[in-house]
Amino acid sequence: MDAYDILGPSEQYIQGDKACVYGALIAGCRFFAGYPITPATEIAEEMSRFLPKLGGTYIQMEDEIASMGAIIGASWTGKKTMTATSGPGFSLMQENIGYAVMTETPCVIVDVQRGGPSTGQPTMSSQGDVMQARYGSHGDYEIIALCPSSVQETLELTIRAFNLSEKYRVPVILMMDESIGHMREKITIPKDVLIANRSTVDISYAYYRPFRTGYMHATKIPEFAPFGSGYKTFITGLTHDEDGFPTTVNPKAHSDLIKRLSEKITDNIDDIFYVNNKHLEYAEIAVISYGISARPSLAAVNMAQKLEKNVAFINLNTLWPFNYEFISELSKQVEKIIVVEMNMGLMYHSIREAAEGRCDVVLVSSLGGRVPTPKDIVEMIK
Amino acid sequence: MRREIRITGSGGQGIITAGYLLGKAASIYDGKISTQIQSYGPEARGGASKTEIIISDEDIYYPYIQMADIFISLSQEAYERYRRDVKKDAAIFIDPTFIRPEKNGCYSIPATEEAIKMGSQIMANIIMLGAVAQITGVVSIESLQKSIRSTINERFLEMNINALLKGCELGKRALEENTIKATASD
Amino acid sequence: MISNDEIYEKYIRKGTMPTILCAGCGNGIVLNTTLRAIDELKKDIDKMVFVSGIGCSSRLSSYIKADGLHTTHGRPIAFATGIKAANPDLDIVVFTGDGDCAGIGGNHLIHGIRRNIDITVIVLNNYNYGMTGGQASPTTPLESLTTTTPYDSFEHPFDLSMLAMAAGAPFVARWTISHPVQLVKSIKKGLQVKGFSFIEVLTPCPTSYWRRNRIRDYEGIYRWYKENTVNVKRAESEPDKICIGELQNIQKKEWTEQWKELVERVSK
Repeated sequence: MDAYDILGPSEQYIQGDKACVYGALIAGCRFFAGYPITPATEIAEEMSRFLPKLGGTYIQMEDEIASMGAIIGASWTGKKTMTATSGPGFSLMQENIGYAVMTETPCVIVDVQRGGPSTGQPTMSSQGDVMQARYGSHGDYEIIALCPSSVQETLELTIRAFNLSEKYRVPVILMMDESIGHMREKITIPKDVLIANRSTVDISYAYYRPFRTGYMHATKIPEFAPFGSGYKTFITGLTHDEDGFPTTVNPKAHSDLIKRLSEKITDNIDDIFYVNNKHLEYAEIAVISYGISARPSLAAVNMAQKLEKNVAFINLNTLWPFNYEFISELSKQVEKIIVVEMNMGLMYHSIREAAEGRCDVVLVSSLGGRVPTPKDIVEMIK
Repeated sequence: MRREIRITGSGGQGIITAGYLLGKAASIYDGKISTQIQSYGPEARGGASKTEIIISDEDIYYPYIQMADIFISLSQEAYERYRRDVKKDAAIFIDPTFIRPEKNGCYSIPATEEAIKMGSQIMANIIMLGAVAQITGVVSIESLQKSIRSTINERFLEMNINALLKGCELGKRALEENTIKATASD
Repeated sequence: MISNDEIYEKYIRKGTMPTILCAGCGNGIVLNTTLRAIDELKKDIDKMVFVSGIGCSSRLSSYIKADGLHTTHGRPIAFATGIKAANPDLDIVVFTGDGDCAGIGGNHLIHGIRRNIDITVIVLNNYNYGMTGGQASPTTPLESLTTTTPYDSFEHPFDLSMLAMAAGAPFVARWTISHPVQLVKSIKKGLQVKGFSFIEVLTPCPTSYWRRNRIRDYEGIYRWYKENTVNVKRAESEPDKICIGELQNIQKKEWTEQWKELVERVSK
């Protein structure tokens, strides 16, 4: 059965969490492992309802560490896999997220952000995990993190998360927040969606080396041989050579590997990085935000436009990889960048770094689950 | 035009359902833009429950209430906790079974009383929705009906539609009796 | 019976030889007996996945010419659960150790058993964290010396097989590496059981554990195993000894079968 057969009418009034499930199922996700946590529980609930109808698999694991392990294991059978969690669970997943990076395992992790640190504010919105998405696991690596600002965008970016994960063989993190996760809005289920699948091995076993790249295809992404396909693939989180075997004390092997893992992302930043801009052309001020706070930011920009201010709005739908060049160019054009975030200033640091003092970078920070109002932001534009 | 609606009551009274039905009616069937958010407490039953719906002809950027146009309450506790950030000329709806009507005038809709008469107290939320739609026109009755039909389990459908119509009737009566400023001359 | 040379030719990745294992380590015997069991059952090795955690025990997956997943510390049962649940046609063997399985991964063990997912877990219990140089583990016997119990260990050790039995594993067996024939038989049974099979092997770590505990020759280690274990059939007469043998064999509904039934039920 096809996802479209069971999702219901093409227009629905649903929560962001549910839209995430719709996106995943349309993208081809057929395996979900998770553990209940507010405000991401609805994703597990909907998955448990839909997946068996599609012949997929839902499994509730004993914790988030196991959930992450299970989706990596399942991904190696060739399935598209996902888990969903919030701050405390996201912390527990970090080691295995690093494992997925190292073993180039496609999978999608949804973090519906709530107030932290620790148990914090389970039912309140926050954007405090954006640095954890980038740097949460140990060691050097690049990762992809996307961030939706509406229920419709949640559906679309979940599909995009799967596509990027399959294409680049990297875990992709969908950074939702409680507001988007629990808010209801009308969605239109898209038809004729572009779906990407990991490129599978098309070379005979005798010549197959699981982590060799640039041999059959001119990319830094290896071809995938699922478990059970006879290719006898060995996967390890240890530093490994092109055969996948541990080579843990060879500095060149390690540096070659982690450089390739990073470059396969950074070389393709033009394909991966995607933002929503408004009024950028003549802007003297730019307001940058993402997630729920992007909405009052856009409202504020529209209000300021009416006051004849040349203000641009930038919705950072792609948080990571961070596009330094894009912000650098922006800093040459505008006098001031206003960063609106529901944390004490996290993306603010990367933006300031990329601006290199060429323009003012100011922060509108909102904490405690309070979504900043358009008025808060307009004050800064004036 | 942007209209901000807050519905409050205690957990178990169907407050969130009412918000969902209202938002869905506006966005799916009235062709407007609508958002619905809800407050989450640890308790599913009891305690104060709240949902906020924005209905607009244009894109809704800020999905939270700044100053409510319509405030609805079905319990004293929720009324006391959430009757803030409400416009001076807002339409206030209360259920007199639980809340004393406001001095400056409000719509006193005996939703719970009528629901009990119908044989199911949990219909109070739907009765209240009918009255709100009838008086404010924030959504059409027809769309609310469609919203209920596409949401509620068939077994309970007839009862819900009857409750909605009962609410409309109460709304008409409230308008006729001009309860709006009943005590304005005080 | 297949010879060792034939096993080597048929199942071992030559590029990974020699192993990292120390002289006198018992892990090679576990690898050998596992491959023997697979060969005797005429299993299609291309439909098997060898999953392991971190530690000396967990290196075994890399030596077998088959699909293998060398995971994070303590988590092989969680990864294996994902593989099996996503593709029930694959046969999964998990190699894990006492630290991996009873320490950091204890929660996954009991939940894997509770779910009764069809995997065969082989625990190489060597009484210590060998790879990091011999620290106390959750199975270190009382009064042992390790690098982190320099004045004797006083924490009560886990009896892993008893834990697996109590959690309800359909198949539980325990042997020492001086019982290779019995071990092959039990691994075969474990692979055939539809459900969670738990096979504990007492395997010596001469370098890190026994050297510190005053047994410095292989004969001495093997004598210790002989003197301190008793077959389950005679366990009542010697209750203080470690009980070995086939300890549990019960029928229980398995996870992937139940999931299949559920899918058939709801997709009608």
